[in-house]
Amino acid sequence: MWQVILSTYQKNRIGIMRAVPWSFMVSRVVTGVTQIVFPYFIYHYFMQGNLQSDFGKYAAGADYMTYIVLGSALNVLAVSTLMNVGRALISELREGTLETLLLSPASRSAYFLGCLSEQTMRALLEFGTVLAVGALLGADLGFLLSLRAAAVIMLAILGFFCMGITLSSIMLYTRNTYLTQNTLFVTMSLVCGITYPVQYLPGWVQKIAQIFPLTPAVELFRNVVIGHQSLMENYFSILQVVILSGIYLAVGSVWYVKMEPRLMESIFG
Amino acid sequence: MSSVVRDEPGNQEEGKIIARHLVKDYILKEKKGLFARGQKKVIHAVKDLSLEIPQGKITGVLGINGAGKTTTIRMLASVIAPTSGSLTMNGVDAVKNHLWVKERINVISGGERNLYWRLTAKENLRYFGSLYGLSGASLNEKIADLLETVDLEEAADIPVERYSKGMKQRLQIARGLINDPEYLFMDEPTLGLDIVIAKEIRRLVQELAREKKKGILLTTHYIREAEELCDYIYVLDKGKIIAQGTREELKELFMYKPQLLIQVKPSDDQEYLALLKEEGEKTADEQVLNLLMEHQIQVEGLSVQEPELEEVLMKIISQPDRRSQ
Amino acid sequence: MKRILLVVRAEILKQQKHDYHSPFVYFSLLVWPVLGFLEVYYTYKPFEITGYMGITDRKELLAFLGTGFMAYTCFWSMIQNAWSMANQERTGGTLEITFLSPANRLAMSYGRALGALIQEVWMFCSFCVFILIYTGTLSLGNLVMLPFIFLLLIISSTIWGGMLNTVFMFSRDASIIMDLFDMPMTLFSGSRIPARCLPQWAKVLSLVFPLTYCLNIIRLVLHIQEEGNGWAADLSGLAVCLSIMITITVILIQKVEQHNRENGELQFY
Repeated sequence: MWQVILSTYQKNRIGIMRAVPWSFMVSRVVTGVTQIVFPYFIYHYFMQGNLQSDFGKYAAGADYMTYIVLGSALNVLAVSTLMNVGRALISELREGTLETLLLSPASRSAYFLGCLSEQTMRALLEFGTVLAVGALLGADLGFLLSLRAAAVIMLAILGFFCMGITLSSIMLYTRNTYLTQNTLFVTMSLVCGITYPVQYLPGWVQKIAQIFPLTPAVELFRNVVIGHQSLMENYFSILQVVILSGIYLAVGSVWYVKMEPRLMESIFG
Repeated sequence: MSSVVRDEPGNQEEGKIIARHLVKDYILKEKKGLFARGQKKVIHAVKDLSLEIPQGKITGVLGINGAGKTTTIRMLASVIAPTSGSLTMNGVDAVKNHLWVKERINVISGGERNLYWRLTAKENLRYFGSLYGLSGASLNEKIADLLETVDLEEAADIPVERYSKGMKQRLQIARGLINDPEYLFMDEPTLGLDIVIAKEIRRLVQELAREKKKGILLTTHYIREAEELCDYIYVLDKGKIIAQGTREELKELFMYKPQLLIQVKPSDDQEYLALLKEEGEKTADEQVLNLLMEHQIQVEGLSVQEPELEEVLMKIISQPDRRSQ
Repeated sequence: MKRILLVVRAEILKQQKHDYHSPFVYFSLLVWPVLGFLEVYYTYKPFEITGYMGITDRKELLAFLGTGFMAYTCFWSMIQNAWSMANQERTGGTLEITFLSPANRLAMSYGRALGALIQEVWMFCSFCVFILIYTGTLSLGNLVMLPFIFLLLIISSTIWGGMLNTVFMFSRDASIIMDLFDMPMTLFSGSRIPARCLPQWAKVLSLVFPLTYCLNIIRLVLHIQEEGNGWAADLSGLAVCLSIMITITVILIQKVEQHNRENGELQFY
């Protein structure tokens, strides 16, 4: 088990170091930065700070820029983790290395954990870049340096990772990355409450939003960093992330196990 | 396009592409690390190449992978410019007037690329035809004609992605003929095709040279193909021509005794093992067979091995007098 | 001249056949822009509309965004198309084959842009026209303006697209260039925030994009925004901007050809 995690980690690391996927990283950071600069422009130059009273109510008195920056940064972390984990297997398929993996008795979960540990540093780097730009634009991020905030980030990564497992199966099933990932990411940034409280959306959309771990994770993150709340006060959001993680992990794994014989056929048949 | 100045076309330069001392160096920028300045590395892809492609004939360039065949073809076809040396087509400087040259040539390469897969054969040809200024009824006529030549009439309206390898290769040939070129460059046109289709394509190539009087340059790494098709053959190795001549002139070079491989049942009979060691290596095939019969040794398999191109190259390199000037 | 038109027509037809029924097109040019449009609309939700910059209520905001997105999508599709073309034609080996012909290179570049435009943006533009009718911006009275608006958009985005097509021929991994073009255009050209409310440095940047002038003209014609510099100023600004782009395209295309003849770069993938 540990052997597989380690060797997957090393293999991916070497591949990444040889050809750093700058384009993906730059693209995600640019999207994240645009996602905070645009509301910043609206807030300062166009609407000149005129917030509606219901924003204060929905956002529990949060400062607008801090609210936006936390949401957008966590969104970047989600997108990055989902992409790195989700695309892992299909990339192996495209490079023709999936067959060796399929033939080996290596545990599939160890493989994914290897991918996860390899990509987390990069994902956190992108996350940090967006936060840094956010701080420059006036977000108050002091409370990020707390154990509580760190725990929330870890929990969020777990949620995104598990969703990535399902995404991986979807991509293998549809044999498509570009359409699948972008449709998912555009939807997530629309419904998960990244740059505005979900309460502004129609009721049925708010319900749909709850199936993404990003929605409770963002709420939790803001409550802790802006509201300095304890984890216990947010047990419901935590529970939601954990349950969603379990569901995505199960769905992704079962689907994958069902798909593996078909994959073998398509490669070796 | 017609305002091309000819440098006194001599008769001997008409109807020919002539390359003299062509050299092509590629400059590769090697990146070391993210911020380090790239180092330049020069690759000598073709060194001092001189050859002629007359119309109505098939000129062959034979070489193993990496010999410089593709660079040669791309240079002769004016896709890339030579680093030095001269290249003329019908007496016109082909390096300076590459657009003029492009009207009169085309390139066909082996493999499945170079076509729009989502388009049908007709749509592909119509598009490429338009790039050469063809249109309307004359283009349609041309397309129908070409599809007949390459025998793709029935598949004319099917997207290329559903074609077999051989069909794609034939469509490539039709594409290469769309501007009715005077010269045609074919880069390993039979690469990866099965025997029947390869044979069909060879017949087509011959027809184009003999009947349509096109000047054809063909690269290949199959000795047989070069022997069968080409009127004149250049052997290329590491960017240099190491031998050249007509089929007849190179006959000796390509003449080889096929090696007979005889597989026998393992035996402990020391006597015949000794015999084989003593005589077997040098004796003629029939003597070896007789020997085996005499000793009643069971033959399990027979096969004839033809020499690989690599072996012929070795032969040339080991005979300094064979090298071209 | 006849040959040039022939090449342009061939490029348009090829584009049409090539993208016919490709789900990629429907998603990237209808579904994603619609979702993105909604996200931007909701980003404005927390703000009180004060009438600044001539926008007095949500309907006017919707009309403002509708025109902004309609024009932006035309220009954005050019970026996306240049990227995917460069990719597909390079890997398919067709890029070099087209350069093997003596066809006019400029005609090829503009033909590709125009072909993509006609093929791709009509869906989202219909959506935007629907939004504009819904908000009452477009009525029977000014419907005659619509052909004029489209003509303006088609000419300017084709010239912009032709330039991008040649830029993208230079690079194998051009998705970073894609972000570099897209982000400032999104933020500064007035598609989502009125360019005139931005700080001085951003206004200067906005002058680089033909989209800025197009939007000013369109909104002036449809009476969405307050009078800006007026017709003449924007139209002449646009003319200058476009002629600079044509000049760049002509120069670049010669460079591409020269570069390719030296290094054979169009062949690699």
